[in-house]
Amino acid sequence: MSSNNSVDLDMTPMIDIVFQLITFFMVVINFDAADSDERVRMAVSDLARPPKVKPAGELVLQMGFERFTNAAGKTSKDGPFLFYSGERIPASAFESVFRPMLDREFQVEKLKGNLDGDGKAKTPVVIRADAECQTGDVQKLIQVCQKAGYEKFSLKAMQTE
Amino acid sequence: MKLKKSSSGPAKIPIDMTPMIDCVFQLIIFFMLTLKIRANEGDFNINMPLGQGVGQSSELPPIKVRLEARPDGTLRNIAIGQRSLGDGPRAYALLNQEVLNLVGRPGAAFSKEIEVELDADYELHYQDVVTAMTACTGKVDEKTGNPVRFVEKIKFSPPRPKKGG
Repeated sequence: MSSNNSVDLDMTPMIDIVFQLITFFMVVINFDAADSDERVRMAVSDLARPPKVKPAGELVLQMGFERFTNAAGKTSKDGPFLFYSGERIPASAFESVFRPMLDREFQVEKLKGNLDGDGKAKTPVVIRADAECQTGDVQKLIQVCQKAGYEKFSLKAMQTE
Repeated sequence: MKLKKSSSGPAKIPIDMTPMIDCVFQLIIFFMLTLKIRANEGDFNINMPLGQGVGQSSELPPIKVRLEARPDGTLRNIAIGQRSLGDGPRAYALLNQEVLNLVGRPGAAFSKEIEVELDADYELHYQDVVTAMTACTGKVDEKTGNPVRFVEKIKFSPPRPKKGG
């Protein structure tokens, strides 16, 4: 007890717990924008498990819908679009709009010396596609990547809860 | 000047904890608001070199799985080879069993070589393709809950043209 009759509270346990909480949140939090794109509602798979070894580099492509809810609470969607580099590219423009972007990415891979013996990019293309996308659109995306020099693909799915 | 010594033991330096506690609580609130609990994501690796024809990537002919769609994009029928399996969860279970019958047993050396080729209609929902891929590549062990893979290689046939377009 101090001389002016104020009560000394022992703050140590509270600070301990608060620091534990901060540590927990810091470990759990995910700042990766690619993994938290709300426009992509991933397909679900029983066998989907996170890879044991994450590749050093990967080209992430997100394909999803712009969803809207009107005043009556009815949801509508527009798309599918490829969300890449801040742009919204419809499936019909993969060849005309996305291909030049991908060619630039490939040139960067080339400058880094990240090509295999056949002159193809070693970097895998990770495709995060919405469950409601048409399969043909996903295949078109794969074809554009193949033409640009990518041949390793990783199709993402969400683990069943 | 004469220094006064406290009679009640050594002097205690009071540390004002208030600013630190303020910052720490702000940090906690920030982390709580930005935290998003999401299910884990997994992936299916496919290797698709350009211009690769059927059967060129492996010495064995691929297991061909045909996925037919209704005009609204839902699954109408799964066929493996010439055998039609129907639609719905039962069709996926049959597909899983058929592929397992062809491979023999999970983990066999043969399973590393064999390849499944998915031939889906353009309109088919991607979820159905992922479910078919899941049925073709393995199953979850009921005892351990771990995935057991019996096919490692998956590829797609060239995309089919859009119906009515």
